[in-house]
Amino acid sequence: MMSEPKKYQMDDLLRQRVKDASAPVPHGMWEKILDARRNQRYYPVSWIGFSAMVLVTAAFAGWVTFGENRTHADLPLEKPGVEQTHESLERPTASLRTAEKDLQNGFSAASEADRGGAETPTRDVRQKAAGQISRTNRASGESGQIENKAGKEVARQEDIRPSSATGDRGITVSEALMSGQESAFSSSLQDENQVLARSKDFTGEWTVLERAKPSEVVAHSQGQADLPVPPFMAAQQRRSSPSCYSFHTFLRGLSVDGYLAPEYAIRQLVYKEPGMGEYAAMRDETESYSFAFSAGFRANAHFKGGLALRTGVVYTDIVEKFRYADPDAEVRRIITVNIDTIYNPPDVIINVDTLSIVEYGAYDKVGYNRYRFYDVPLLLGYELDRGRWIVHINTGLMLNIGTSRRGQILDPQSNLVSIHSGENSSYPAFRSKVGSSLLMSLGFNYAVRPKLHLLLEPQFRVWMKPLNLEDYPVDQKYMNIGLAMGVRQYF
Amino acid sequence: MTDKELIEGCLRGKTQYEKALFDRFSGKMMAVCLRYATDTSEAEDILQEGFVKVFEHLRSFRHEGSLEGWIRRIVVTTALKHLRRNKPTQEITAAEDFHESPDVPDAITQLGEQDIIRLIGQLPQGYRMVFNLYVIEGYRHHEIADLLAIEESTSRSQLVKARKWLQDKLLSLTRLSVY
Repeated sequence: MMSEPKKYQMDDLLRQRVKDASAPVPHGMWEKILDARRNQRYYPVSWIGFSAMVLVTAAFAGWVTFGENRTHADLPLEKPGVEQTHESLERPTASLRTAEKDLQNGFSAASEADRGGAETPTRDVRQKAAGQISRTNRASGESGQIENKAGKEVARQEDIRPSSATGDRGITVSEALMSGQESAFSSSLQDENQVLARSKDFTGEWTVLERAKPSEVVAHSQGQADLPVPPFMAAQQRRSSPSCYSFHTFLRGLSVDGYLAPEYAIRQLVYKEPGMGEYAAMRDETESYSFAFSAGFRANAHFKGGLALRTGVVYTDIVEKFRYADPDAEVRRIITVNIDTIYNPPDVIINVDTLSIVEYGAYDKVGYNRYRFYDVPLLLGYELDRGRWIVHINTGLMLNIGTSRRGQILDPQSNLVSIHSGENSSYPAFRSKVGSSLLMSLGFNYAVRPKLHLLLEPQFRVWMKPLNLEDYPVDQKYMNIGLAMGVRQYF
Repeated sequence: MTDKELIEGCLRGKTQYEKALFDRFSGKMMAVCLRYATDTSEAEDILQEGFVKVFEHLRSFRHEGSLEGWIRRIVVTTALKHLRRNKPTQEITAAEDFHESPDVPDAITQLGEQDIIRLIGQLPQGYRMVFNLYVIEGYRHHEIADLLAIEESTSRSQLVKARKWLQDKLLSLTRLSVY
């Protein structure tokens, strides 16, 4: 059993003297506490927003770096003939082996591929009759050349296009016979611009193809094919082939975005002068986020390498609910009452009077404050094509060209003041222009038509300067998280 | 305004109620912080952190004890965490006996509250935490051992040393005032 601790008089006396003692609290401590609490509320939200953007950006970067290395031209399209063509691409070597056996006159287009070089699909060929896309294997030579017996190049795969003889189906050219060459089939060729070709899909059947004229290849490169992606993008994908008629211009194309973005506006009030912490807290207490949105048009210039510049006009509206109950307010009500009745036969006289009643307390003022911004975005984007999808990451400045406000706030003396811009009596707290804000976004475009895309773009925007004037004791700053939804039209 | 009204106002997010709560208890809590902290600046940090926690967790106050006691516990816990974070706990030697001098009570009565708080604040950190917790807040040694993550015997030893240190200081101050 433990012994009772010994009691000391010193302990009791010291406890009595200091247990309920007070010490002077340093000046400004309450403001520091208010500030710390505001930061506690503000920073988690802003960090969540920022972290989400970083994560999405990292995921995007990972996808670009380590993702499937497919270009748009390699993707299966929805048209049946093309799907079949794509299927054939998955087994090109077998197809080419067959082709090699079949070719008796030495114009084999498969020898190189048979040695293992035909795994990578390289080029799409525009189908003359149906206007569809088919795929062509690197069937011969190092860059798709088709040679005769003497090893002389007679045609290139990309110069060959299926003729109307192939019907609606695109084909994979595995082997080809040129006009003028010795062949049991050469009589089928009408002139030197024609080629006999066949693929796995047409085993045993030779198809008359025409060599594309250079002008058509150029047109094809410029995106006149019926692609479900923007024309400039198709051209961009083809730039890696040295044999393609390149589109050398740096500018690849133009487009316009129109969008509407619901947003969440995170506000931070930071007091700048001692003793204004309570005022900042009072404003925080009386004003709360209601809703926000932005809407705008952007013109996009798409450049070589996936870069894009965007500019336009964006309108942003932040709406906050203002609710204030003034405990000292007077509410005056005038009511009509009967105060006397005098009976004076045959008439009845009723004396009527009014009473004025003054009520004190709880004057509830509820309203909505609106902060409007007109901005010109200057954004740099990087776009990556993923078939029907285009993913783009954007960053840049939103240059403010004007702001306007409506509503009421409390001033530092707790008076209700108007902030309506353009009014002489408006409280002088806010700037007419708020400088620039930083915007980061990650966009996803989905091609519904070759030149028309749906746009979905999560955005993160932070204003670099507060909305208020220098001499206003509290800095009012914003950051917005939004989701832009709209369309993009390519030209 | 009663404590209950204060709490309800704070829970509704009314700043004037929060300010009233702060004004009511901040002086006492500042004294607590000064007893634990090494200097005034550290005491201010503890007070600020403590009150931020008070407002953050006010919803969890169950009205089972006094509001002041609840706030004091939060401030003391904050002080202990703060001190543990900033400075390592001192090495402890074996406990010794303490013999109380009959002159000590007189010495204590001659000093003002602020002087005593300052004197306690001057105790070496290990002594100070144990002395404050045991003598002023009324914790037991096993509770102190849990709070500070030390042995119970260490707590006893620190207390004895703290008493000796304080007694010597009190007596020397009294002698100074006599001469």
